[in-house]
Amino acid sequence: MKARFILSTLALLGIFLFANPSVFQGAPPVTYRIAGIVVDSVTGQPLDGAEVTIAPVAALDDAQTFLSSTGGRFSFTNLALGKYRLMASRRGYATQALLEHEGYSTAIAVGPGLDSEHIRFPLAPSSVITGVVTDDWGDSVRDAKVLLFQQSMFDGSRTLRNINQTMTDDLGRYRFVHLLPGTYAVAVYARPWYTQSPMQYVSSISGKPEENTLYSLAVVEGPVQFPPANQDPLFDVVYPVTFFPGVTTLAEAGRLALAPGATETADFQLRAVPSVHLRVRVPVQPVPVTITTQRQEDGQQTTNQEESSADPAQVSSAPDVALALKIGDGYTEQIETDRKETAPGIVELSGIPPGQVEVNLMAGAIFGGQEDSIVAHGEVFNLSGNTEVDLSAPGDSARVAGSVVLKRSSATAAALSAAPAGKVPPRPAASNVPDQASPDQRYFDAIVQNAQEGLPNVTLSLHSLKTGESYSATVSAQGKFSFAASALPASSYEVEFRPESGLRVSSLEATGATISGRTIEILAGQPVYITVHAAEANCALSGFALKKGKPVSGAMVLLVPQDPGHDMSLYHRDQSDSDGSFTMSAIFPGRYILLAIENGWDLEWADPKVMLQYLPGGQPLELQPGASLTLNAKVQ
Amino acid sequence: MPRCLIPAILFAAQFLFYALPAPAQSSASSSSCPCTLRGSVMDSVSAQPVPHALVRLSAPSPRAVLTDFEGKFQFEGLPAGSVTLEVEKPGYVLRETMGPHLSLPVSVQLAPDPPTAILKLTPESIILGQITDEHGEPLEGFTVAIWSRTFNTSNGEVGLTGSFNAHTDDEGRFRIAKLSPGSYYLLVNPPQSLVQKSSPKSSIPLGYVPIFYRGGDDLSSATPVKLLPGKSQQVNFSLKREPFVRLSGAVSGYRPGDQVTLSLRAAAGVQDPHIVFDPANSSFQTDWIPPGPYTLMAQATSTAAPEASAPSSRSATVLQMVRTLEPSPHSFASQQINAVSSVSDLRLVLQPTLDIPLVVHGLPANDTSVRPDFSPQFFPRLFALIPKFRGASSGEYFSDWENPEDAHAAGDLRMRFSGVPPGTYELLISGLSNASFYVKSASSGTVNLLRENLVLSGSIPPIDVALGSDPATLSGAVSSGNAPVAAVVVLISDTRSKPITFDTGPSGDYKISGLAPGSYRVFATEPAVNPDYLDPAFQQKISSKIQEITLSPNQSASLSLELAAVEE
Repeated sequence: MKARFILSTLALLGIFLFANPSVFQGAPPVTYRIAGIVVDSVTGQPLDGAEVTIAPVAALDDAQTFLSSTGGRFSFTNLALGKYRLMASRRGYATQALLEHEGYSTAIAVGPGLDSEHIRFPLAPSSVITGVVTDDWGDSVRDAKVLLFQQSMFDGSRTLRNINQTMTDDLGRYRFVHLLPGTYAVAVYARPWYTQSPMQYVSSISGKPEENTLYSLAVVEGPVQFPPANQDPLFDVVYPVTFFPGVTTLAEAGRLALAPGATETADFQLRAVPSVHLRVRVPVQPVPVTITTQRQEDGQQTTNQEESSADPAQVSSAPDVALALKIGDGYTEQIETDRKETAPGIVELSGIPPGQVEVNLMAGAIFGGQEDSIVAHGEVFNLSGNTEVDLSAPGDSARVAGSVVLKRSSATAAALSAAPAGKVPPRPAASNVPDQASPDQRYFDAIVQNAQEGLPNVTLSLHSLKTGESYSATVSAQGKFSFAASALPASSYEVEFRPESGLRVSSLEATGATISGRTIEILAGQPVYITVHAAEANCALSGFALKKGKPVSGAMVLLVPQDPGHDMSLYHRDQSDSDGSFTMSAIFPGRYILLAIENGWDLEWADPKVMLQYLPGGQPLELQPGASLTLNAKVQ
Repeated sequence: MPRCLIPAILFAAQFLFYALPAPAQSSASSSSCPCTLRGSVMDSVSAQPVPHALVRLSAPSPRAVLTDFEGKFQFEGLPAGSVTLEVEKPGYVLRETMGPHLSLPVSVQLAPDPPTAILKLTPESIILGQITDEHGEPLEGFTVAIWSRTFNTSNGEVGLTGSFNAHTDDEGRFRIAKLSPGSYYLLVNPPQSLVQKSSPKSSIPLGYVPIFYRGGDDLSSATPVKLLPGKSQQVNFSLKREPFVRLSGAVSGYRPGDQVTLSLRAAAGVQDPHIVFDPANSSFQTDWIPPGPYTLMAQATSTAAPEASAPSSRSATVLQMVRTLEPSPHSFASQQINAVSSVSDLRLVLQPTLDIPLVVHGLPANDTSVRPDFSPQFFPRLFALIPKFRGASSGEYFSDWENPEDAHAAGDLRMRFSGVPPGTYELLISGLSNASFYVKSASSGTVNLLRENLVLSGSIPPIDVALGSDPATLSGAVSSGNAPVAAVVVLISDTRSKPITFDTGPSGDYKISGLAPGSYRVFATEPAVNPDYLDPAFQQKISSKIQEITLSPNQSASLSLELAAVEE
């Protein structure tokens, strides 16, 4: 059964397969029973007093709960034909779905000839990681931020991901509970208490959009002689981000292997080191800020019209610099710094720990009367000593805009693109030509529109093959997009949709740039207009995982694209349910290989080398746009 | 969530005492500096030195040092004159963490070879405990809120403030540190999600009920926990599930088309439950809620178009607090309910609210000093009616202009309270005293509102406020052992029910203008203490430090005060 958050849609499909009313027409109403025992996954001992909850996969809100009795027994009666998700929880055990793997679990199918009354529900005892954080003198460090990383399979690769965070108490203690058995790493971030003034308050940077496009930066690395002379070295110190056991990167971090029910200890002693000083050159001219009030146009608009027109009033805001520390993969922590504007256009910051630091030039903005601050541009630096960076002028870059054209497969009403399928849309109206309208204005328009309408959930990203940075733009309901806040550095970019967009790039056309497959080469100084031809994820696949003709439950069913590229959204997975059934939907048209692997949940399936031995045993298939295919998978 | 939470203050420190003799004539000695200030920091309870404490010197230029392993520190090369010292260290607190003072700085007069300054830090107190169910099983995710008694120096109100929150962990344990010594009230709030049907057949759900220490569902029945400096106090709770209740009934007394709003208020600190009003049949019903005391309130507002809102140009998105243009409720009802079981026949009959005019006399037409930048679209919070009964819809009702265009008009200030439910109120006046004026009298008919409460029932005479233009001024300095010290200066007058207070800051200097001529009892006390200044027992305790003074019109008097230390 598929991940919980998209379960309902999938479930409908599953129910349809099993509950086609025509099959049972005229039969008296038959009900079914789900029963079994809850056991400790380690000892196998039955567990009394566990809360077992079942819910039809088609209606997860319609849950029933049963408290397991003597012998760990539970039972649910009077159930209609269908599939049910089982969850169980008990004190000392983490809440788990039946045979849960990475959000997938085995649903129980009830129906004629299906055994749903001998379920063994193994509950893994939850584990604990605890520890104490102390400083150079052995004093406890209060209010230190402690980050927990869990090793898990993510997009088919084994990675350490931040899953939780907490603060130390007055004794410097922290405690992560309800952990599933597995491999973990722990990190601590704190500032020495004596370098913080109690009168200092956090200046919050809220509503920071994820899209931060940037100017290329001239970086002067190496020793820079500028720490303020009057700064007392005793207080000009920081704690580096510290991973257990006392190392500074996630790569070096120790792995804590948690056995079921175990308590592991990870203590930290933080060592104060001299703070990194950063000198940032910022634009002397104020950063223009757009105040936007949305005005809805009437519905009779022609296709070339912008979907809304803003009524901007420009104010200006002095540029500000905000820093964020990148800790491990995908976790950033805002850094409170001591900042000083030493000369017009020069900001000096201290109180920065060494490490991966994102330097962001902030600009004020007012959205619908709310004051906000957004990243005008930014860049990540690996800071080990005093550094100077230049955010004051744009580098070699180009303005990029374009439109998305969706190839419609059928009568599916696609909101995207008013242009006829397959044709290049007309060049946009004058106001949309990148050179003329203020790029900042259009960028803010896009944000405001997105926030106010909650619409189109389509995001296009350009992934620089030179720097590895990704730049994103929201696609409007009319299919327009613009990397408007700033220009993109000259580079080769891979053009992709964000996975949640439900779209995939089929081909590209561009003016002002050269195209090679799904890659675009952007040169400095030349405005670029891209036409992105997109395909919709509208195929479905279902069937049974079979081994020698018999259904297998709990198998990992994997749909591998024949031309995967870097796009992990082309892969699909499911866990076969108790009757061996699986369903996948929102699949892009194309050629695939269908695999079912028993005990396959530890495989790094994104690694072609790992999959090499399984691919010959899979079934090749091709999904035409809009296709819904039924195909059984041979379990290996 | 408790209604009022004050963010925890991380580290704070205080001086209980510092030992310095009287400063010599600083003018004579200034030529002998630069001077060295030596000192040490010690724990006020254990009398042990405090190593690695941060000592900050704020004047003449900010400097800081950490104490060594023996708690000693020194600042070299200081010019003669006054310096201000502050000290902090995790694990030590201010005596008062709720008020405006993050720390209580001490001023030191520097002279050659000053004696050692001894700075004492008060160790923090800790409340910890465990919450279990009736079987002794730990309860996780419960919130423990702790409340402390506070004193508002601006209006002299004694109140309770929720200051810290903690959640129980997987073993049902909680721990709240960083507390100042004192008395605290504890409230356990169960997580909302724990309401459960006892069995599929039973219709009444069971859940945990918010509980104050030691038992009781209301702050008034709670017992405070007394915390000593540097001590940990263990407090355990055993809870059991109880049947929840449901309240329903009907509302009457409003006109068709009125906007009717219902709200249900739980005991202080307890989350207010949701209540649904069905206008079709004037009925209301709550969710299943914990049994306990509640205040049920309803108000009706005319839905006739309110006055046209101020034309706002598109670019005028300046962020300001603008006068509310919402109409006041024209009728109101409230009812106290001690819900021990479900009640289905509650009847709320709305009663008309009152509009009370208020006139301020005694303003010379040409004096704009008492009319600061009040433009018509702003809401001048000069006067407030504070309800002295339970069940008011608001904590205070503020006055507004009778006619906003009058804001700039010369002469009397014409104001009005709108939509105030019947009940007993205290009139609070702020911002009307300065070097030129004081509030001479405030009355409604024969009721003297400077001393008595206003009872609203039916129509009452308008409120009449008279300003006097011959105010007295009192100034001076507060000292402790001949050294200046930060303090709160308190003036108590028999003609007013509220004391007048003034925060001196570290210099110990004070100047209070806009005083009504008359007799006052005056004293200075530590800002950290938070006492009820009017409490006879408190006044008895500091009686030797209380001075009496009579101020005549336009007089500028001076009075030196010796700090009245409250704790030994």
